[in-house]
Parts: sequence; structure tokens; C-alpha cells
Amino acid sequence: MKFHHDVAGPSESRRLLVPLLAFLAALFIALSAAAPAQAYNFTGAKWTTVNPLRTRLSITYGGTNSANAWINASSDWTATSAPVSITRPTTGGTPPVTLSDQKNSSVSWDGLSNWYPGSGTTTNATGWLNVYYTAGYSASTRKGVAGHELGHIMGLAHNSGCVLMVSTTSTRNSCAVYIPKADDIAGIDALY
Amino acid sequence: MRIRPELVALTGVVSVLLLTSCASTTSATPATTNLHASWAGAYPSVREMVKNSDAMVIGTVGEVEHTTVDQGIPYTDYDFEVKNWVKGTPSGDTITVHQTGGPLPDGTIGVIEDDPLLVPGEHLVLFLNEYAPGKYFIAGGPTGRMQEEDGQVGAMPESIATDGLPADTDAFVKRVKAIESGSGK
Repeated sequence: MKFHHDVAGPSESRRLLVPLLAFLAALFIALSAAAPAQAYNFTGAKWTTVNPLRTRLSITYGGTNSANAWINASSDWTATSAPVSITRPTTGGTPPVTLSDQKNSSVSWDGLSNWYPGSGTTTNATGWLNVYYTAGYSASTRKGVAGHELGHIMGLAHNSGCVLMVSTTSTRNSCAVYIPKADDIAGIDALY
Repeated sequence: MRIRPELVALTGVVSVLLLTSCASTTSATPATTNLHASWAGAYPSVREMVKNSDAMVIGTVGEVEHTTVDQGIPYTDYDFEVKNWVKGTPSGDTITVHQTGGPLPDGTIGVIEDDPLLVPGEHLVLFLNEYAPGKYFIAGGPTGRMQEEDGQVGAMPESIATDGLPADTDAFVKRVKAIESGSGK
């Protein structure tokens, strides 16, 4: 039995080189696109739009302190260049976002939020301030916690550095960050 | 049969694009409801953790005592079997550790994204705050909780403790005791 082997000669090598270079170029482009330069992170959930994002207040423990924190944080987000307008409409049905508070001494969080569904297009969400901690905060710090939770509700995950989406209030305080910073705004810009 | 090199390259390009597109997509977690928290305190060092906690213990997560939902927020209470009470006044061999997260009425499990639920059987080093006699919560969420295995301590991936935590359990204990006694840094 005779065996025939195809062996690539010089001209065959040149034929292989062009597609190989094309492959490497595509690999470089794909990897560059997969490693974004921005620092913001996403939760994996977002609204169809946050312009407007309809909210309602449901305050039980913190009175005007909690209410003003949510109201002022909403205004801060709305005042950014991002396509966000957080409103508190009195008509048009129950708003999908509830801004609330709790008083809980058995946890280490001062703000919490969740939304449904956990990923994909968000249909409703709730944010809480924990008055056990926020009652002792300055109005700016309280507002920072509320703005942080609004960032989560809109689709931003934790980030590091002096940004609103940093995970701890003491870091926000040490950086004097109480309103959305450039990276937070860029995150919402990228999402919406 | 000859394989055309152009075809090989095209297949490779498509594969790479598909793989990178999958890698940048968040994986679905249908049985989980994500919660996101703002943590009141930041404890970047052992000293800060010692300063801001009532107790530091080493032990094993036991069974779930019970779960509750309050105003839509789930909580789970775990038994925690203490092997070594390093800081604070011992309140028993088994204490209760209270964590935000747990079963929700819709059948999903609520979990704070950077603070996964405790797992019965796992060995942990915990910095705790006491909110009722014998009942504690972990200081700083993921930062006050470290896994302990074969004499080695490892911070949670989401921990903000970046100030060179001792990796060796004995060294960790010595550091905490030294800080408690005022001789450590």
C-alpha cells in the first residue's frame, strides 16, 4: 500500500501566513474589546429606561431625614449629565421603585437594595436605609448612602476608589463623596 | 482530505469572537435574588477590625437555626461552634451568627452579592458584633469573615482588608492578641 503525504512547501506556507495574521488581528481586537478601560461595574440588571425612573417614598423610621436623603440623592442623579430623571409621580399608578427605611441593629449594612428579576430587564425594585446607622450620619453622608443604593437599583455594582459606588460608607466619607462622580455617571451613560 | 487554511482561520475568528462575547456576559442565577449593600464601616486592617468588633472567634458554621423575612429582607441565623475565642468575653461554645440573606416567599434565595451565605461545615475566622446576648453579626460583611483551612487564613474575595493580613492562623491570633493588649500594630 502506498501512502501519500501532503507537505506544505514555501508557497503553501505563504498561503497559511495571511489567514494566520488575520486570525491574530481578530484575536487582538476581540481581547481589547473584552477588557474595558472603565472602572464601573454592572449588576447584570437594568431598566428599559431611567428617564424617567418612577419612585415612591415609604418611610417608617427615619422621618424627614430618610425622606430627604432619598429625595436629594434622586435630585443629584437627575442633575448629572447621564440620561437619568428620578421622579416621584403622584399619578399614573404605583411607581415600580420603593424608597424605604428600616431600623436594624443586627446587621452591618446602612443601605440595601434589591430588584426583580435579578438579571435582565428590571421591573421593580426597593431600596432601604438602615436608620440604626443613618440616624447618626450627617445629611450628606445619608444622601450618599441613598445615592449609592439608587446606583445599584439602576444597574451599577460596587466599584473601588473615591466613587459613589464604593462599598463602604466610611470610604465615601473619607473621600467626601456624596454625589455621583465621573465614573458613576459614565457607568449609567454606558448602560442607558 | 485537504483542509483549506482560509476555512481554519475563519473558524478560529468566529470561535474567538463567540468566546469573548460569552465571557463578558453575566451568568444567569435564576434561583437567586441579588441584594446589594452599603456597608457602614470599612476595616482595611487587622487593627481596624479588632477596634470595631466585640469578638473575634475561630470555629465552624453549624446548622441553620431559622430564617425570617422582615419587610421583604431575608435573614438567616446560624449556629456557630466556637473552637477558639480570641477576643471578647466568651458567651458559650455555640453562638448565633445572624446574616442578611436567605429564603424569600417567591422561592428564591436572597443573597447580598458580595457577602455569600455561610455554608454549614466551613471553618471561619470571624470578627463579630454582639446585638443581643449570645447573638452576633459579622463586622463589615465580607471583610470581617475569613476562611480558615489547615492553619491558613484567607480573606473573602470581596474583602476590603488590604493591609497584609497574616496568612497563618497562629500568627493571626498572635496579632489580634497583641493589638488587644496594646503591644501590637
